[in-house]
Amino acid sequence: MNIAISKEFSYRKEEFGGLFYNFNTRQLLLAKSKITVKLMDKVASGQWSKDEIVEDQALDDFTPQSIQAALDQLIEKGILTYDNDVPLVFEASEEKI
Amino acid sequence: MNGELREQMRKGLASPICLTWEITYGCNLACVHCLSSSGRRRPDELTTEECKALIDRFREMSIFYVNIGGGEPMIRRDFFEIIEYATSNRVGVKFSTNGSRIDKEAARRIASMDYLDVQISIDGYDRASNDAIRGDGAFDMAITALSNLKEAGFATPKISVVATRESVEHLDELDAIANEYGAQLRITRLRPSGRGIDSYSYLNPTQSQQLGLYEWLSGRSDVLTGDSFFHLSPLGEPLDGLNICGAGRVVCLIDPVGDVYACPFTIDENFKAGNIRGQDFETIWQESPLFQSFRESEGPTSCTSCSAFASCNGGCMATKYFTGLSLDDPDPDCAKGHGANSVNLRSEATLISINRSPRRRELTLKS
Repeated sequence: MNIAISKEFSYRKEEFGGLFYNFNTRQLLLAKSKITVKLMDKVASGQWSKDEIVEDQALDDFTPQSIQAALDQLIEKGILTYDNDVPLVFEASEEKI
Repeated sequence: MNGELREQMRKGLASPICLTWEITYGCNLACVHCLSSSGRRRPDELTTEECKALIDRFREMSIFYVNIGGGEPMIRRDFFEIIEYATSNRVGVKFSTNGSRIDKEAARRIASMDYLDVQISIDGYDRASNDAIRGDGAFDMAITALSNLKEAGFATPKISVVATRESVEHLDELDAIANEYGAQLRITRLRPSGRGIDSYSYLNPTQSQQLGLYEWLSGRSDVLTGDSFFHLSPLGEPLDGLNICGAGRVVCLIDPVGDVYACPFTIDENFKAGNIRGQDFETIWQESPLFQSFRESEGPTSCTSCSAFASCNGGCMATKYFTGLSLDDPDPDCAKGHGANSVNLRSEATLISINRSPRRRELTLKS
């Protein structure tokens, strides 16, 4: 399953980090940590599975464990979600084969 | 709000967090405090296609949401087409309306949409006090709209109330109306712009009423304020919000003909940064000398040495301007009383009139 930004959140990058907006609570959140900003940039750039994100070379400043932990935290906070509507990349490939 | 985030916002963001977009000057009411002096639609208002192209730009700039208003935005025939285009592009919409066009069918359509919030304007706790400001029949229209939204299952519309000498005495009653319809109360500051120039002197709450308002708001984190009472924050614990003027830093206004202004309260040539028909909106936002000057400002020179400066950051630019003060003066309603001297020096003659479609009505105060 791919990771996506949750329906109730919007995200954008600023010079100083990332900004999240929660449509439900109307809260604005600042993301300062480099790993969160890089992860969000990755998620916003397309449809990626958790494994693909963890293995991304652009994130190689960080250990797979720390990327995994940051992803889990963003999912736990409801900012990221598993996008069940989006077919898995390998499944799509299998169909084509 | 996080202090670091506030400091970043003071310097301005790459895109607005949100912006106010007035999509028409046309209105079926003629409220005595209307910020945009609305009444008659202008022939050169943005077309549907221009509106959609602008929404595309909002999406590309990652603007989180737009506050759509007017005038009465729902009188545009393409109103739903515009808001559905925005929300389907994940540009959130909050729209302000007098409620006159929210019949049962419109309420159902509104309730079916994501990323949509509705603000119904009510300026009095009963028919007499509301209609004195907004016009005959306005209270009943608003209540009918709230009732239709509730029946349609729309979750938590907002009741938007301008704080006036009359309304601040009845905040509990207004809150009770909100509760009755499953709505949330939102109170905003009266600004002396548009037709508000004429009504400001007798509608603006007194200093003692402003103190009472601060105390009432302090205990009510469930009441929204649009961050508009930060001039009162020096009275104690700062109110929720940014507590700085966000004009040209995190917000701006686009008017019905595409002019871009610093904020919803500054529809005046001196605060105009450009027009989206002649320039790209992102370029206006990022490069206009006017907006850059706001981002570079450290605050009004008369205020920076005040011990409360960190709480209010000098107050509202628009209120100063339209009461004839310099932007370097304290807010005329400064909670520390520093604005009083400046206000005493000005005369009524200095009030600046910007009426574009004058439909002035005399206010009949409830006896």
